[in-house]
Amino acid sequence: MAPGLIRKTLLPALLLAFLFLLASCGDQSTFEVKGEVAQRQLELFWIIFALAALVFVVVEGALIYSAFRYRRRPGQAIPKQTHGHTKLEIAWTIAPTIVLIGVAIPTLFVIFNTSSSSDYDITLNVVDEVVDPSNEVTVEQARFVVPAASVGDEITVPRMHITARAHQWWWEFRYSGDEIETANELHIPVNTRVDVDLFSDDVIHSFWIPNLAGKLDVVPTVINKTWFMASEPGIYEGRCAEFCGLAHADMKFVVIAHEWDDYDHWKLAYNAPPQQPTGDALLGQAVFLSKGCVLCHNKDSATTLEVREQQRNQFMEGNNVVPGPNLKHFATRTTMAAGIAPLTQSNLESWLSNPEEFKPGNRMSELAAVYNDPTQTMTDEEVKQLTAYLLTLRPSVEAMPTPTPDPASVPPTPTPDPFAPTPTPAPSPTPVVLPPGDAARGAEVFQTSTPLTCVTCHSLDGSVGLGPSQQGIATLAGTRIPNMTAREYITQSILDTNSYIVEGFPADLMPANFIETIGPQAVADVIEYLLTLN
Amino acid sequence: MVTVDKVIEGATARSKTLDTAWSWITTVDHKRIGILYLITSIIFFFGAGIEALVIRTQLARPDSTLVDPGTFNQMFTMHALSMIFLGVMPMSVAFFNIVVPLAIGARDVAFPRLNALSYWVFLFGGLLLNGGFLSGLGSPDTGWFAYANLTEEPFTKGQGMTFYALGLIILGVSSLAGAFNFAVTIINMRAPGMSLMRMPPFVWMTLVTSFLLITAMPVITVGLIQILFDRTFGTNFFDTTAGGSPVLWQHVFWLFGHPEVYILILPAMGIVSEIIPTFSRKPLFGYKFVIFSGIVIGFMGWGVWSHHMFTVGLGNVANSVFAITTMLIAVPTGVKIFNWMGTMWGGSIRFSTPMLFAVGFVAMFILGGLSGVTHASPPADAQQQDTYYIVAHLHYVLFGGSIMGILAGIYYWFPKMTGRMLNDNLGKLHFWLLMLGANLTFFPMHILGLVGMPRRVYTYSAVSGFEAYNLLQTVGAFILAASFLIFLHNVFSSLKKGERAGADPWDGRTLEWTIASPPPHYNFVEIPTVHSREPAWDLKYGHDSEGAAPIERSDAPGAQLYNEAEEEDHPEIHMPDPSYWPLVVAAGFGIAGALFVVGPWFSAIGVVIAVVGLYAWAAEPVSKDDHH
Repeated sequence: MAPGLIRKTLLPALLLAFLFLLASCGDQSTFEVKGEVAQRQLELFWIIFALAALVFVVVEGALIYSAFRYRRRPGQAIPKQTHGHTKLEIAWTIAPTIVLIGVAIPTLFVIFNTSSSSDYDITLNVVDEVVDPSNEVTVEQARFVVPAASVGDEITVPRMHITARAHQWWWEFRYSGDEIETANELHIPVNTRVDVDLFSDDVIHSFWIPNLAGKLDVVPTVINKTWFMASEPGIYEGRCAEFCGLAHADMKFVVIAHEWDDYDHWKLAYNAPPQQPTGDALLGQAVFLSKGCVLCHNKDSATTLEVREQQRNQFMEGNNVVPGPNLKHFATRTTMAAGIAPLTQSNLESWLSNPEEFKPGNRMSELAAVYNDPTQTMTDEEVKQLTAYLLTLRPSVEAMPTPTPDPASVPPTPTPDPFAPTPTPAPSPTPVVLPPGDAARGAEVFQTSTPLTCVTCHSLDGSVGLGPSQQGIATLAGTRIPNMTAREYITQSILDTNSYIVEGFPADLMPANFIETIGPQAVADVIEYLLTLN
Repeated sequence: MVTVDKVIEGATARSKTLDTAWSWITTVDHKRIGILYLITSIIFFFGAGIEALVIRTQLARPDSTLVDPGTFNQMFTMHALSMIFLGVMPMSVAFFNIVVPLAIGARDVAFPRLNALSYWVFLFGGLLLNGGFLSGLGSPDTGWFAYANLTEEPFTKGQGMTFYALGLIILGVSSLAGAFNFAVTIINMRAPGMSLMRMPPFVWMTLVTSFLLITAMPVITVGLIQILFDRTFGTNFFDTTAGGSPVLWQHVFWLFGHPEVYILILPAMGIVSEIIPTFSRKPLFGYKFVIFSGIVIGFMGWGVWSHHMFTVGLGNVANSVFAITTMLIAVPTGVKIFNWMGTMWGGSIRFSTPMLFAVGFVAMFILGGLSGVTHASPPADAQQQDTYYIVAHLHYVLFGGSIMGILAGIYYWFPKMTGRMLNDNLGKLHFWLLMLGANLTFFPMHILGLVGMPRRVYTYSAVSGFEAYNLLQTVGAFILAASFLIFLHNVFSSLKKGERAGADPWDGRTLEWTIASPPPHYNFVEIPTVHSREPAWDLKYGHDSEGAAPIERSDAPGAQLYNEAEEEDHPEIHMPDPSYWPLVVAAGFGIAGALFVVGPWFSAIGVVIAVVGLYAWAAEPVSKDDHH
């Protein structure tokens, strides 16, 4: 049977050789390093791999040799009964120790260099034309960081600080000062050391961007710190690496590395106000507001940490609320549902109509009323409108730069132009003059108006809904704001919804565009109606 | 004694069948208990294999919808739990039972009824661990190391974690009882002249493993009780909103979990240390170094647990220390491998099936050990942790290591257990198919992990580049499964019409080969006196001074023993009486566990049964003709 031993050991050896050929395929390969930390980790791996491969060949070789050389031959006498050899024992105790010292020394160096506490300067050479992006930068780019840079200089890369919060099963990224919050897409400048604080308020996750850095776990009760750097613009896939429950496989994100100037542009655009929805999108906005989406999803600004904590507590107490991805400028994203699919109209429609099929186990299909309360289910029409609305969530400024990813590292998906110019002038507030209203018609509007029915959120019997009950509003309204009559208060509440928020109810929930959606006459009728509710 | 083949051939008359069944249910004979252990663990092993095939079928294609993620999570969790706690561990215990008393010249273990209890508790614990499947309530689905706080109520609902905690606690009782039994047996019941340093290596590894079990099982039991209490009684050990620590669980789990790794591999190393000398016709090279390496591994196994936690963020110093201890543990492991090769070197190697599996073990284990060194380095591990690279490593050491070692042991001691040989050609076919299947399944996992596929994902996307490797692995897994069907066929056909083995089919070197196959229930008519490490070899060839080539002795004093094929009546040999109380006590444990799922206080019923059983056991009369 001895010849078989060749097959047994040569098969792995041959496959090992393939490793070199195949190592370069796949976008998220740990061999496709694009940044400092991953680079050092890969170099260390190759050192250990080389030593291990050497040991493998020698030891398996000796095993195969002795299996061949000493196989029993017919008529062979009983071999010499040797019991051991002390010098040999000492030798093969020391030999692996030496090899392991060869592994241990570089290991210790890299442990300290790649840890968050390392603070050595990473420098780049300023050159005319970049050949090796891992340590070179053009003079034009360099001047965004060091205005006086010229060819031949060596510049130190800048540092920035972000926070990553892992949730079941998506990622929240917050930038210094918590002014910027994104979900599942992390925008960073290239050649910048990005220090990351890792938080979780549910279970343990692990933050991993194979091309840029190895993983570090995200542990509730602990703030873990790590860092990474991208040396080339591009889109890099990241994901949760620690098993974290049902949708663990679908908990991904992307890191979008911009040139320094593009990154600044991105930040500016982030802070721009959103476009105004029109047509289907306007109806979609109504769906968004009326179906309870806002209980978990903010779309206007960074979610405050207080709100996040409330949402978490609600979930832990068994309520149907959970921290949900921020949707600010959602339409500019390249992917959706935690990085698992390209953001396209059809993907978004299938996600919204049946999230459980799109991403099994996700919290939205588990908790949102539209998916588990048959009376709240969205019609196909509403799904289309909601999709249209979400696709208008983009900054209202012109000419956002498109990231220029390395074609090799882009997920092969039709990336929609994230900042397509659709400029809309900001609406200037004009005083509204309402026609005389009729309480009887108003009662009908209150119960039947489309796309939003007042009574969906505001009960007439005192029960608590998404908004305050209208029971006795005609009396109450006069007491809410000093020096304001009931009529004035109700009018203001309908036309300028955030001017006064009843305690215990969320802001930003009620649409502010009823003049456009149901018309001035209907608004006036509803006001008359409400004034009859003593 | 009714032997296995007689059971199969002779069990025609109904009353005789019942008698036979009853004799097995009440048996306290270590050889029969070993066979019960082996059969039961092989059944559980096949269950775990089917779970593996479900996993591999699901992952054969991208975006597969064969099973939903919830089912998939149960599959990989139960695959690992079953392989470790219901497959490899009890298979090792089967060999402790079958081999140790014979190899040390004892008539039975120190506590025969406790031994029966170990088996029955294992059986009920195994059923309880599978209770989620049996009851349809859902199995554990948080991975075999069940990281807190995912295991808390808000994140994992249902009864899966109850089955996990209770099943493992009860299996721990079985392991502890067995471990104490074998430690006491080995320390106290060796034949005259068998000093510790004359013990066969497998017996040594049994002793080391027993001490590891005695020290490691309580650690995990503490953690399991914490999980159970958090979920059932509202304690806050791992509730992060109430100040509980999820990292605490990881320390508790891996403080058990790493010694556990050696609990899984040391018995296989012991088996291989028996087989390689026998088939090389040479004594184990560097016996003392092999034994001491095993002991050192047992000790050092307690100082490396945090290498499972390199990405948890314990800090640079902790990671550095555990990196170095982990690298150091490779040294005694290497010493063992070199000594096995030293044993083969200059030998006269016969490649019968047991030897093929033993050499296959060494070849596979080398690769598993080396990939282990690559993640002993925390920065390299940062890219490997939780990917298929780790899955590749652990299968090379646990399949290529433990399972191959155990298969070598099955082929080696099957003749001693049953009196019949396993078919060698089928054995070789099994071996080569298994090598092909195992390497096709597990080798591509290295690459897959390094190109970025995480473990424990129920699907992957078509654009990830993972497809080809996954398909290859699935093909390999089915070849592996086919090889085990050949094994099963071999076992069944050999039981019926296998070649008669005789006392010493392999030209063995240790005491078990000096008595009939299968041995009479009292094992030795006369307890032998031992003068060297290899008493059976000396009987055949004489005990020569170091280095001299021995010549076969025609007047070998052991020769007449070999003729004693049939059991003789030896009324002067006192053996313990059968007892069903161990089964009653174990059933009490099982019932207590199963009823806990209905409501914690219902467990009292099972506890009462167990306590009554224990008192009845204690009060059981010894047989009348006992004159001791």
